[in-house]
Amino acid sequence: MSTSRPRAAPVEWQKHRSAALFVLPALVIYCLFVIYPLASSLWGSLFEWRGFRMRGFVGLDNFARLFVEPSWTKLSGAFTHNVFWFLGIMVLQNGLGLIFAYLLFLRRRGTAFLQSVFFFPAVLSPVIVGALWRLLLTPDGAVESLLHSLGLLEGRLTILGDSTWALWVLIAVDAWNWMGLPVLIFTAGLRQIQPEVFEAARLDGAGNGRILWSIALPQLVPSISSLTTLTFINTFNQFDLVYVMQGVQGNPNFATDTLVTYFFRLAFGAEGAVGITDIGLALALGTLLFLLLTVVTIGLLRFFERRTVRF
Amino acid sequence: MNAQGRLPATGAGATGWRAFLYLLMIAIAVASAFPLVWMVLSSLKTPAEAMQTPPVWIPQTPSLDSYQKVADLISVGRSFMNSAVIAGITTAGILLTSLMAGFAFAKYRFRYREALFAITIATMFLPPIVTLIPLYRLVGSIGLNASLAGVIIPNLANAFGIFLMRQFIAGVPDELLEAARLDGASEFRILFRIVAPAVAPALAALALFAFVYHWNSYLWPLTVLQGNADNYPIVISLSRLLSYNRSAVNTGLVMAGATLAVLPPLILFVFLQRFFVRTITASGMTGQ
Repeated sequence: MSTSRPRAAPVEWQKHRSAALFVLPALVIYCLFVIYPLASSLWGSLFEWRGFRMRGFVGLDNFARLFVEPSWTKLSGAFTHNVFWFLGIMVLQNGLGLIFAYLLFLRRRGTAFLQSVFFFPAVLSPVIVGALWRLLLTPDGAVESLLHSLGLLEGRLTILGDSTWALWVLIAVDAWNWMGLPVLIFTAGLRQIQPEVFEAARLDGAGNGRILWSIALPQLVPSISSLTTLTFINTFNQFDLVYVMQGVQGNPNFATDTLVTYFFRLAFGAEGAVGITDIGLALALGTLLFLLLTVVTIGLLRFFERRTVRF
Repeated sequence: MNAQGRLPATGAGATGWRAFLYLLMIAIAVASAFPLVWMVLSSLKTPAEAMQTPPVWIPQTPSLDSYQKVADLISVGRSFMNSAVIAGITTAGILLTSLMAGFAFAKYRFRYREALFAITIATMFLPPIVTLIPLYRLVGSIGLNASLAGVIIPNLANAFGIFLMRQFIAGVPDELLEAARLDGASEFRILFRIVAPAVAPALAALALFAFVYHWNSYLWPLTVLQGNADNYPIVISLSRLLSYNRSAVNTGLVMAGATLAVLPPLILFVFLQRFFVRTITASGMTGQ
């Protein structure tokens, strides 16, 4: 990151007033609509709630309730799905994205065009992505008939209703949605490596696969760091795609449930008895999610920082 | 593993492998485009064609019936207007607050600067869901629920935008600002006449990012608007169309709506994507 520190400028009253004026709009909006709700969310997780009303202080009781039945099955299931989602995106999206970026880097011709094609689905709303793929994957739909005509499938295509496959279908759709990002970031990263490094390796007789693995990869750590962190944050925030394609219950039989869809059901009364909200439990889950994201994000950034090759 | 050990660079194995990877890449590029092509084609089918099995790929008699029908079912014009207002004002607000705060963080020294910036960074990737309930209550308590203002106002400042602008403005030479100050330019003038043009590519990238994100956003407007269909953005109107048709999906109808909803972010993407690429390269995300 470019962190050229601002030089000590002459301190003038005029400049101080400007600084305050410039920071103020963002500060007011941010404190009111981000910091305050965050604080009250964290605080509220320590209370018992009735509907949308805060009742007595219960300490860590909500947190304890999360880890016992009936919540534990849902919590552990959702957490596992988020972990699978993260790993799936790392391989399907970022791993393939790296290979594609390298191929584009080697070839150069048509790079800009293909980058745009890969990036194109990212401008779609998750609602449209979900609707589109649900229609494509429906029994009697386009994908089924395509697989039929290629002879790859007989009978009905029911993967979205199949609890072993549904989660992986969603992960693949998500990977398709954001494939352009790793391609873009890795292509940019590869171009920033000194060309001499590649030439030297080639003269030593290293093949393309070897150059990618031993020469390029260590120098791509900043790109890998950005992508891993973004992937982690996005996968643990996964909601829209599940909600649109599989409903808020994460159908079939909670096989595609995530931490955020579980949160949503708790907060808006779709868990257990319909219409009964459990805000305390939801806020406890939200607090844990916030802590998890913050701790792991900082951990990931530190981990990669130590592995960055410096010149 | 044979006696040679590793694969020669130009051997038959390496070439075959590379050819396979190129084919895979082309296949995925086609797969990237295919659903969108299918979306547009489906929107042009007649209802009979849309329901046919096996599906018809190319409509025999392209018709705009679906567009007409979708306009009858949901108020497309109104939804579009709502989306444009939400995404447009939010983007303008984010650009302005990010530019100003980023400038202050990068070029002024003031009390609590480091602390304020640390808070900005720490909450940059806060899951929106964590603050959803208190935020909803807050917006309600100031009388903004079910209104477009309620959707827009909480999003007018954005931590990522401030961070991005600070990074780029830090790279603008101080000498440039000092020279303008000696000429008697006010701080506002310096910001808008010297700093803003210098970081224009980053501003364009932020505009693209913000507009696409808020044009497409779903959960927050759905929560705030609470059934006030007059204020629904196009994405929510579209999702309601989906649930109406959950039993018997009228593909053409949904796809016509989706095709319309995709157009504005897509057009913006086509025009601004080169700034996006440049900004990613310069942002430090890929290294120095």
